[in-house]
Amino acid sequence: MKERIHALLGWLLVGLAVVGVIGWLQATPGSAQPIAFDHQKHVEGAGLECTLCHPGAREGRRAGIVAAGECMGCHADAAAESPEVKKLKAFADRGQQIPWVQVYKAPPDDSNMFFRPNAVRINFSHQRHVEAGAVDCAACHGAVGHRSKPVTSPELPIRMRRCLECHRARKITTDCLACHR
Amino acid sequence: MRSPGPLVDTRAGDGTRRGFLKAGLAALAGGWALLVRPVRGAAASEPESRAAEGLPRWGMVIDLDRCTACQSCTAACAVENNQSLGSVAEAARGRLNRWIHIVAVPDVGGERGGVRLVPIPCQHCENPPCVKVCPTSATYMNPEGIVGQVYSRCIGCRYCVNACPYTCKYFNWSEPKWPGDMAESHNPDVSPREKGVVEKCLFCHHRLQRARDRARAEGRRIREADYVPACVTACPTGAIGFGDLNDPESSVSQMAGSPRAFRLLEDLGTRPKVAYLRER
Ligand code: HEC
Ligand code: HEC
Ligand code: HEC
Ligand code: HEC
Ligand code: HEC
Repeated sequence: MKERIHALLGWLLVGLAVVGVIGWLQATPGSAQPIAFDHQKHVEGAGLECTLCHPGAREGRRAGIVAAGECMGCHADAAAESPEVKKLKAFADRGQQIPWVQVYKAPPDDSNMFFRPNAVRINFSHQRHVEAGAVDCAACHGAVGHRSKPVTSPELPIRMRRCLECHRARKITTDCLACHR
Repeated sequence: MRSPGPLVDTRAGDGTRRGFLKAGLAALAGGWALLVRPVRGAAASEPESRAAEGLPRWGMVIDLDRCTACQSCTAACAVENNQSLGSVAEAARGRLNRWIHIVAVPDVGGERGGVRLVPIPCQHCENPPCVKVCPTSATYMNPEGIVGQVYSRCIGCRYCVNACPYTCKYFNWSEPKWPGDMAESHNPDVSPREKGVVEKCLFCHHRLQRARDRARAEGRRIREADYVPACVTACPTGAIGFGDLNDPESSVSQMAGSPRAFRLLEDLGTRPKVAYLRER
């Protein structure tokens, strides 16, 4: 009888371990983005400006990510042997959009499977902050430039408290209607 | 159905039942105001101090002598603001949400006689009854005088719907649903309100946000022509004017000061920022 219980407990442990490993694999950075992109090599290594690859941050509401063709301007030569760059080349050759997963998202945020009232909709413009307000990317996105792994989860959360803290400190509007619609 | 009763121009008062109703309402509102004033006494002197801060005070003028009651404004507003389509059944129960709606007002004192059709958006009162009753501050007056509604803060108690003497607050009785792929043509700047929250005209505030962003990008101040609500652009007879009431030069200030100007239910003391014009 005692052995039976031990066996049962043992199998339970094995089961838990399997579930754990699967969960860990799923959560491993790199599995969520189609290409293992490395910010550090580009920003610190190659000294590129953020807005070279995210031009919308200066010009529009969305920052955006340049198309694969733009990356190939360098990657026809740079690190051409890397398996990740080969993936990139394949996308570019097919003229395909790289299916980057958007990580930073203001509501309505459908990536949250839990309760997210559809009525929360946020007015946010990168241009207004980056260009007009001269706010550093790092203020909202943390040290992305040091990151050698792909961005799979937000370093800093998008929370109303954080928007308001900065707006108060800089005497920008805290009127609900400015952000809520 | 929404009752057009208390919406008559106050100058049309006479010995009718309507006049009696109005007097009653006014007395009620007066008594209520007396009760509420001492607690929130600050409200009365706010516009003057805000004028000193140099902030705009958005207001509207509707010329009833030009209005043909064609309802272009109603349609434009509905599309601009992702208003639910509604159905015949809902309309019959007075559950159609149209932020600028046409109300048939018996033209009691008027020389034309008959019925006058009056487009009524939120009046953006300086002394808004809806704001006083909101238990969560979901509805409030913003620094530029727009009576706002934060949908994510609204708990759907409908106190404000009942408090508004102009019937300009609307409760969402059903889920926001549109047939086919119609939802894809929604205005992305405006949220579709979910079931159970109250919605209202915000003077197309999202257009103001866009105008500000544009003006800032071009490094200039916002101009009168930059910010125009959808109903104003849609009106084929140019009957609706919009602008900054704090700017004495603006066309809307001048029209609001015209001898033809009056406000709806003036004697309630709500002090609307929507003025109506009509020949006396
Ligand atoms: C200005 C030139 C330039 C541009 C534009 C550029 N890269 Fe790179 N990329 C580099 C350089 C330089 C390296 C570093 C090579 C090294 O260190 O071996 C690199 C490295 C990489 C690597 C890692 C290779 C490895 O395995 O080490 C990937 C993946 C990559 N880039 C993807 C991209 C993508 C995706 C884009 C477009 C969004 C892009 N790059 C745009 C210059 C560029
Ligand atoms: C060489 C091109 C390149 C440069 C330079 C670059 N990025 Fe990126 N960035 C990318 C790519 C490709 C992705 C998508 C892959 C990923 O998430 O890692 C990305 C993703 C991001 C994301 C996450 C986007 C999301 O989906 O939420 C942020 C935030 C970001 N970058 C910020 C920055 C900042 C800040 C800088 C400057 C310090 C910068 N990037 C420089 C190419 C670049
Ligand atoms: C004031 C805060 C703030 C600053 C500064 C800021 N971002 Fe963002 N960023 C956000 C928010 C909020 C979102 C989510 C926006 C959404 O869901 O529409 C976002 C989303 C993004 C995204 C993914 C979605 C998109 O818009 O394409 C990228 C990439 C990005 N930011 C890059 C940058 C870069 C690069 C900079 C600096 C040049 C920067 N951001 C500066 C707040 C900021
Ligand atoms: C690190 C500081 C900072 C943070 C964090 C920040 N903002 Fe801002 N925001 C600013 C500045 C500075 C401006 C003014 C830009 C200008 O000068 O036009 C601004 C302006 C705005 C405006 C325009 C206001 C107007 O008067 O029209 C909106 C809307 C806005 N921010 C929304 C947000 C939202 C939403 C968030 C959170 C996701 C956020 N901001 C987070 C600094 C910040
Ligand atoms: C500077 C921009 C900004 C201003 C001003 C602002 N909010 Fe928010 N608010 C946000 C952002 C971004 C979110 C979504 C992220 C979150 O939930 O924190 C949000 C979320 C909310 C939520 C929903 C929280 C949830 O999880 O569902 C409520 C309620 C809310 N805000 C109420 C208000 C009210 C009331 C005011 C005015 C007093 C206001 N907000 C002013 C940016 C702002």
